[in-house]
Amino acid sequence: MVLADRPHPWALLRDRLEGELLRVAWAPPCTALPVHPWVLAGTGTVPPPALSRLSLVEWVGTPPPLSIRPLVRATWAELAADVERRLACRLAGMRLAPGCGLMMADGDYLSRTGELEVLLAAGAEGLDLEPAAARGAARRLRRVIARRRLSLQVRRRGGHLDLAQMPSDAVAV
Amino acid sequence: MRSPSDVLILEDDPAELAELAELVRAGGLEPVCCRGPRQALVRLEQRRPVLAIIDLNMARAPDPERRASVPDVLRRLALRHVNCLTLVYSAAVETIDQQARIYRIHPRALFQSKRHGPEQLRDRIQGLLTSSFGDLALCQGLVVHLPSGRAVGHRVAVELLTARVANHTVLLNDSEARAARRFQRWLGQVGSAVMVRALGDRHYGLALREPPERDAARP
Repeated sequence: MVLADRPHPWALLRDRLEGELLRVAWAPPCTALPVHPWVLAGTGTVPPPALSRLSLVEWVGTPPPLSIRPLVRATWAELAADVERRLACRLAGMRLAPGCGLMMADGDYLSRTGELEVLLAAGAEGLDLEPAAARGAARRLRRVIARRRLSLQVRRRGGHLDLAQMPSDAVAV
Repeated sequence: MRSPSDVLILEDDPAELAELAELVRAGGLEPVCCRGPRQALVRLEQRRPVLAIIDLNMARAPDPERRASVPDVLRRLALRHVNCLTLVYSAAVETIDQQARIYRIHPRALFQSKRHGPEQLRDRIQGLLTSSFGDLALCQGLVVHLPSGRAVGHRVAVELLTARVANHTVLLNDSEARAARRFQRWLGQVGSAVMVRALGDRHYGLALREPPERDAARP
């Protein structure tokens, strides 16, 4: 989801990134987001509507105060390159599936994994958010991981969240 | 499992309309020809096209047709025909601002500039009408499993295949979801490498059956 006054960043990201893994949408700032985005890519000083769930947030220029700490980029091209890199993120053979969901190393497909898709793409850098929001997100993610019996763990340190592979001895237990 | 798949064509120039209709017919699909927006809206009440080819400029449309506008047609397609691929072609879709104006009305519209000539438009339409994915191909309006030569012509199967080629998913109601499950069973019977995948929230898409990665198969 591109948040910008003018449509040009949307066109740039659409032409560069749109494919089976990603669709690029556009909304001017100050409007309600029509979808909950995997990545919110914005510019300007107007804060976006509050995000109720995890999203990656990337910002071109100085960002306004945001509930999730944005990754600040100098240009849209730099931002596009970073998103491209995140689309290819893998952990324990798990990766983003075409359309939505996750593709597991054994070829299995998991749907309804929105926040896990975000944290997977956040990679080793993880996400920084308000501690209370991080606590809530970690709880939701751990429920998903337990329900799907994934060998993953969500690590939280204060407001910092990241995803890691479960140590093999923990899996054996 | 056969129901005809329609292609809506909105074009004010009768010669061009006839040419596009012929192209669609040659692809084995049923052209639904409209010389103006009013007629297109009426047709959209009765038909469920898998593809809509929309000319933005209606300067030659008969006067009564202009009681509605092309944006009205695009809005209707976006809201009520969510699985219909919409190809907007015009001389006025070249700049980002012009595309953004269409995007605001129909966020999933595809663009084809008229300035690139009729050949490119024909190639683009042909590309959409003869989609292929994995071992499936759209041929004469049917989804054909190429290795076995067996075919299925249900609209939902055609929608799933054309949507996959455009990197879209389809939103199905209950009866359409049943048709998608029948299509999935058919894919299993013919031993296709393609499967119908439920993506959640009534969205469906085609995907390739993926073999396990070698690392994961190790003990």
